[in-house]
Amino acid sequence: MAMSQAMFQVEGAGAPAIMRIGAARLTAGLDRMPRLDLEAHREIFGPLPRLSVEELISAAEQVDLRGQGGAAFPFARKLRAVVQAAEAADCPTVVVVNATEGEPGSAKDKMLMIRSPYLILSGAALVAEALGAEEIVIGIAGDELANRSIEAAIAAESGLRKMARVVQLPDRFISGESGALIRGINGKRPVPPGRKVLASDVGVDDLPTLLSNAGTFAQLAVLALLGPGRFAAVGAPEEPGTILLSVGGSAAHPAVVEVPTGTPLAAVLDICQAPAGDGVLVGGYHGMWLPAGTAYVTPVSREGLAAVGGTLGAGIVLPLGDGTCPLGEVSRIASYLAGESAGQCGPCKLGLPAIARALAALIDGSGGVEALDRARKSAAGVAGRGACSHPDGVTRFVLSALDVFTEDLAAHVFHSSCGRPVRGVLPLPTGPEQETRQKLVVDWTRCHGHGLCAHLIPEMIHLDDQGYPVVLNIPVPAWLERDAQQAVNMCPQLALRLTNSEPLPTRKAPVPIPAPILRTGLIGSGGGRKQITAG
Amino acid sequence: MPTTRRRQGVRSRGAGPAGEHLPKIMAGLVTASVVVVVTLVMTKAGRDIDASTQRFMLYYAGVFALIGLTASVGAGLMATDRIFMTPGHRVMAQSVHRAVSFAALAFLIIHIVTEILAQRVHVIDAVIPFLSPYRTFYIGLGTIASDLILLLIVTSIFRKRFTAHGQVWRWRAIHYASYAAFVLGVLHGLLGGREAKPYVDWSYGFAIALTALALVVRFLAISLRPKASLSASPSGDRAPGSQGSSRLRAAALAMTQAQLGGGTVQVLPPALGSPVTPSWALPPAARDGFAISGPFPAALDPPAAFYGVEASREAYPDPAFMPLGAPAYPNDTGTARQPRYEPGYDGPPRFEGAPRKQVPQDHTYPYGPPSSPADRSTGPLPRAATGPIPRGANGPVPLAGTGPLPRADTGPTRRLGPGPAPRADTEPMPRPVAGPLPRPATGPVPYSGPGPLPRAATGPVRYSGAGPLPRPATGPVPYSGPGPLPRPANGPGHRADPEPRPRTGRAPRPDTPHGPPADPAPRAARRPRRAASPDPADRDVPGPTGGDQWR
Repeated sequence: MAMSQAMFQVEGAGAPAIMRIGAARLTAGLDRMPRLDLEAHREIFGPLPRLSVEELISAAEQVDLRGQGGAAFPFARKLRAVVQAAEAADCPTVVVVNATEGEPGSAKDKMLMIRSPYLILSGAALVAEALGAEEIVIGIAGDELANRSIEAAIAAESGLRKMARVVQLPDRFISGESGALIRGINGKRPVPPGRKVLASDVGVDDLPTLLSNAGTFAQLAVLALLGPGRFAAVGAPEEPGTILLSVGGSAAHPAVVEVPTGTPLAAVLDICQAPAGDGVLVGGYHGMWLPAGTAYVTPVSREGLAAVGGTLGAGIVLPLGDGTCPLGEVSRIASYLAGESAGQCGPCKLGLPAIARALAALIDGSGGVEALDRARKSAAGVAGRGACSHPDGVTRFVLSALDVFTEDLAAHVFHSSCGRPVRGVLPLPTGPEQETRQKLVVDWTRCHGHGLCAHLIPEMIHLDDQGYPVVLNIPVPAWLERDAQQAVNMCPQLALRLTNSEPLPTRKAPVPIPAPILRTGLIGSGGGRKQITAG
Repeated sequence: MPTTRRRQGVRSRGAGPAGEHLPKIMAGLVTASVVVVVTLVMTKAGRDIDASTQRFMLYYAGVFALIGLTASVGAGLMATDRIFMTPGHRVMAQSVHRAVSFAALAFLIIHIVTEILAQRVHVIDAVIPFLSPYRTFYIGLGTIASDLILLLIVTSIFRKRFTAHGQVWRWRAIHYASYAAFVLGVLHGLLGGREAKPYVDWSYGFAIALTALALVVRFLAISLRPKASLSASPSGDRAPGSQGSSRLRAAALAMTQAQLGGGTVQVLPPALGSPVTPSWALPPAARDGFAISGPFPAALDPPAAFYGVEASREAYPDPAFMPLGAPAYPNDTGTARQPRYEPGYDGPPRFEGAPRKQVPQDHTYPYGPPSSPADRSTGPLPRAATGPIPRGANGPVPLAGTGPLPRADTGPTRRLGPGPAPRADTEPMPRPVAGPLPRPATGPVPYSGPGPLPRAATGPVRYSGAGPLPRPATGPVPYSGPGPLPRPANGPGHRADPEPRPRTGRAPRPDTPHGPPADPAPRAARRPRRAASPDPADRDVPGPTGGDQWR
């Protein structure tokens, strides 16, 4: 009994919480039990109907089902492309479920994998059966609980056991890019390929591959179970149905929220008790910032968010709240995103650190107007210049932040500080992989400003006006480890080192040192003790 | 050395493009070396090659080692130079230095081994100097040099260790011994073996002289470097009051104003300065003519000398505009008060007369209390108005936990209806009658659709059809709780104990291996329940289900 309770709590601790406004679709039954196993899933959702490819395509077209991973590609078009490629090449197809939720702010796929895995799997099985696919591949990443849940779900169903295969990918931001995922499944390094190939043409094992986000398959299962008419009974007329939003940031109750499209963002923020504060980030770290006033009146839908200059993306909503420095948070995330570059494309691997560096200089007051200028130029300079959309997303994120947080920007430029601390409201990945990563640390007593490090690893180190190194405050990414080692080895003063421990914070409040007490001897004169004060 | 490091790097990463083929490459290399060794040992031609190689090495390995040593010293000296070499060239010189050092070491080992094999010296002579019967002194010099070189190489391989343990001077002292090893090696090479040709003597003498010259340059450079570094002026953006900074600042002012569309931001002139542009902390090199003795030279500067005031006047022609900052706390003489150094205070520099704890509420302080609503409404930079203390202790900062929506009063979206907001953990979601979703009639968000927002709950045909699936509405939710009947009015799924899991135990759960087998009693209890809740909306809109309930 005690044992069972302990295990139950372990499950609850890692699983994202759920809230709901309106109809229960993807989260149906989850108010009754924490996880729908096969039995419960069958009882709640009933038997999966068999649909042909044409029926699937027409159903997806009727409700305008889009990919839920952020790009919002029409699912019907994707499915049709796979069918045509398979017919043209006369070969079998593969279905890939992208469950590598690389965005730190996103929890919807994790929630589905942990709590309702059969919804994802039945969607994938539906398509696989309609296509006659020879395999279902599920790409998973870091979350241990979600991975165990999905593997157990496959093991419990005999049909899936034969068809489905789980591939573990490293927990990186770009692991979920479709090209990187395909490469990872094919046994190569999971980085975006240099030449864009459509998965629907050449995917897993060079077969036509239907690759979509886990949430898309779950939506597809709901669509097949309800039929297009009833699926479209809720939500905005143009893009009906419900969506899953991952609300985090300043929320007192961070949760995955299922809402019909068209619900005001204010209602979502309200039930999560999330003050918008200085702004709301929609669409994740490749998304855009909305000012609080705009965010409160915006309906949650692709068109609604796009109309006010936002993006729905993968449904991530991160309100900032008050009391934290907005640009400091942006700078933190920009540094993280710079480290998450795969290091393949020059504009990305040098441009993103340049953005991060300029923002960091802006935040700590050392950069001023020039840093703002550099940040804007660097951000605009990387857009569209890489194998994947990572630099584009960073550009969007940074430029929208510079547009929205003008007050904070002015405070930082002209006062060197807005006076608020950076509380770390925006989530960063935490996990065993992060613990082992090393940081570059400078021993300032030794450094003579030779500048070899800045030459060897310009991605992470550049020189200030006095010729001393400024190190980007992120763990050394895997693709820079060799350069970092070389910089450490070649420092003429042996001042640079790699360390596992966290470096001391750059600015620390000085600790008052008590004045030393002077003992004048056993026979003191005039009170026995004298205090020495400095100066 | 570089090649070694590259291999290690690839191995540690294990996933690079080269890493994918590493096993194949290694297998090929091992096979090739085995083939070479076997050929040399087993065949007659191989033995001939071996013998002639040994003869060649006996004759030339020492020469090569000496050349390598010379080149290594030269490259090492070049790598330390800061006058003529760019960082890129220095990195290259360092790489050459390492590569040549290892090559010299390899030839040194070959030299020693072949000499021992040829029985010119004893094994002990390779380690302990001055024991050889033949040319005792000069061969002893070579022994000392080779010992030093070995020490140098070993300490350099573990050079990285010295970064962590605060023993840089030891590594440095050992490395300076290379000059001694170089001179000893040259003496050993010229005088310890066969008679050298004159040009060899000359070239080694030249090399030593060059090295000595380079050493002189190195030490001169070290002694000159601080002056050179100081005389180099920092770039314009760090020098307060310089022209480049002024232009950028003017541009920034204009830009900020344009961005905010209406001049709502009041801008501090740089007199308030950042900690990084400490006009008050640096000796004012550029203030010509002023005899300044104190550490706060800016006290002598009139405020107009700072660019920001002029720029503000240009950018804001409105005479009513008064830039914040220097004149914010005017003292008797009308000049700006100066930020002062305060030990124990970590923040932007504060003025001497600036309020420390609380803001005075009289007429001398023109900007009102910090973070007051009135202040917030008039200016977007309330913190600027509070002066240099950015976080007043009395400033009511709205925190995340205290209020759900701090701007709900002024914001355009008031919550719909008088009812309380649906909280996740306090009360159930409003039933479909109450309407949790904003209607177009009341809500501020106009739906673009012509009709009202279709809701699942109000659709009468929603769950009445004989569809292929039992929906949540038809209530086949396996509920095997201890309570005989569900409580529809009590909110969904409020189960305190996790034990009555709605599972029959047939599906293996990974995380809860204690799945209780299905017993017929709960099933029997479930049947009437299904019939007892005919209202489909009852479960279609179960309410905001907080995660806490499920933990």
